[in-house]
Amino acid sequence: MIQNMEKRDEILQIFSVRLRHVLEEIPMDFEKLQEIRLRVNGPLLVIYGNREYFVTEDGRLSADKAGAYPVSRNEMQETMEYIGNYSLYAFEDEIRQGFITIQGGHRVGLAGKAVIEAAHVKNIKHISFLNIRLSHQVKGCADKVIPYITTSEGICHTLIISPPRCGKTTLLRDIIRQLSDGDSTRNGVTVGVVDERSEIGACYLGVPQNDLGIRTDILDCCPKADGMLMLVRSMSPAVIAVDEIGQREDVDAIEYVINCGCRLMATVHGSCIDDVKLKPVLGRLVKEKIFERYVILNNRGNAGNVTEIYDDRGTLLYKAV
Amino acid sequence: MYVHILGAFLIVAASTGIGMYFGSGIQDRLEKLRMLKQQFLMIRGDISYGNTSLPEVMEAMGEKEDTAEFGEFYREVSKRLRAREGVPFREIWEAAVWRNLNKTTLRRQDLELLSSVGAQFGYLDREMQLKTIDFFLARLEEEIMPEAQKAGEKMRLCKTLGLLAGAALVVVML
Repeated sequence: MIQNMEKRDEILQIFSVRLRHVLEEIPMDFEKLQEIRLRVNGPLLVIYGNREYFVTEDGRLSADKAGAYPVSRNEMQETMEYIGNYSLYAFEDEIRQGFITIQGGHRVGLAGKAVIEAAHVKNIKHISFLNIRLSHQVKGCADKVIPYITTSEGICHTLIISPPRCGKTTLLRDIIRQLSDGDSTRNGVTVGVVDERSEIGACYLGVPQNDLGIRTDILDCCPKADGMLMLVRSMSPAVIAVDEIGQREDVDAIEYVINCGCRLMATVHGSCIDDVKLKPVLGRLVKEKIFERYVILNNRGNAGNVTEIYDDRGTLLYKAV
Repeated sequence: MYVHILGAFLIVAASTGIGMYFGSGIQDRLEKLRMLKQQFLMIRGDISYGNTSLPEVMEAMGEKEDTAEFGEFYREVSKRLRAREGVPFREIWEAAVWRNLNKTTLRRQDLELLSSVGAQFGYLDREMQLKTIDFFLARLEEEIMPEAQKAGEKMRLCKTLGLLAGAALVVVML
């Protein structure tokens, strides 16, 4: 209950004063709140318990667009001031990538007018669209997965494949925690986490706000490729965990990590193994059978809902009923 | 007769003291402008190398700053920024400038200059943020340079004028 209140306050403080009052009025469980969407001159929307609702001015959730609270340009600007902690300059690199991670590990997606320089996005101005995706720690959501990714020979190189909003980061977080802590049947191992977007550990002033286990070291806000190499050289991890791989340099770093004897836990966007095979860079790793386990997620039910688990040869090991 | 001499002495001493007080105000203002310059160099460094957010920068400045007025000024800005009370940075900054530094030896023009820098803080990219600080530092230097050159002269002038005013008053009264 206290954690829920803390999360509520943590989220509400990023909104303009008026929006804060409207959202405060909604009688909802913030653990079930997945997204809050703001569009200038558009209705205030939330995704709550996997369903989309309009928010009315008196703080009710409604399926009807009529009476939805309209977000003004001033409210958007005020909200951006708070999201950026009055210091948007400090988030320049993140804005360039289209998102900001705020305290608590919540991700704020941004859209507006892209400023281009030398054919690259330099910045985004006139930010008019926000998608605040709430980070949730669901302890125990990896219970089903752990027996499949740990064998008598050790931990398997694992790739979690999932479309957006299906809980791959939530699942990865719990896998990290369980591998790090260990249990009565399995010793805990040292896990190194490269948390490029501060979503896994939600570090604040270097200290993780989420429980990632007692043997976990986190390199916060560090590019994945550099971070993986740094952790291997400095922290001697048994397992390295990274979120959303896909760049060419990530793949080079993964090969280095695997050749150093570390086990790898990673996530990628997709809906099946074939999707990943088609990816220009990552596809090669799948074809070369680098990964020993593939965990496929969907958004039916709770976050981190596992549909199927495959081994490196594509044999189905688990299928949800 | 003795009473007259004592009275004349007191008048001259008092007016000279007033002159010296105004003279020390000039020196104190110069000192405050120099402190402001040093503080903004530190803020610049924090933003440039630490990519630090403004509430953190202000809090750190509030902790570092020994002088009561400046320390209180930065602490107030930091506290109000963290409270997220629905007021833009520009207004928080401006209010803190006038509330905390109004009674110091800084002149109105100095406070206006300091207020104006707040209007440019926060929402620009890092490069623009640093250029804004550089511009403020240059404007500050424009105030400091001539003031430093003339400070000694002005202080002597204040003291002399105080002395002469006292002497003139004594002559008129006699």
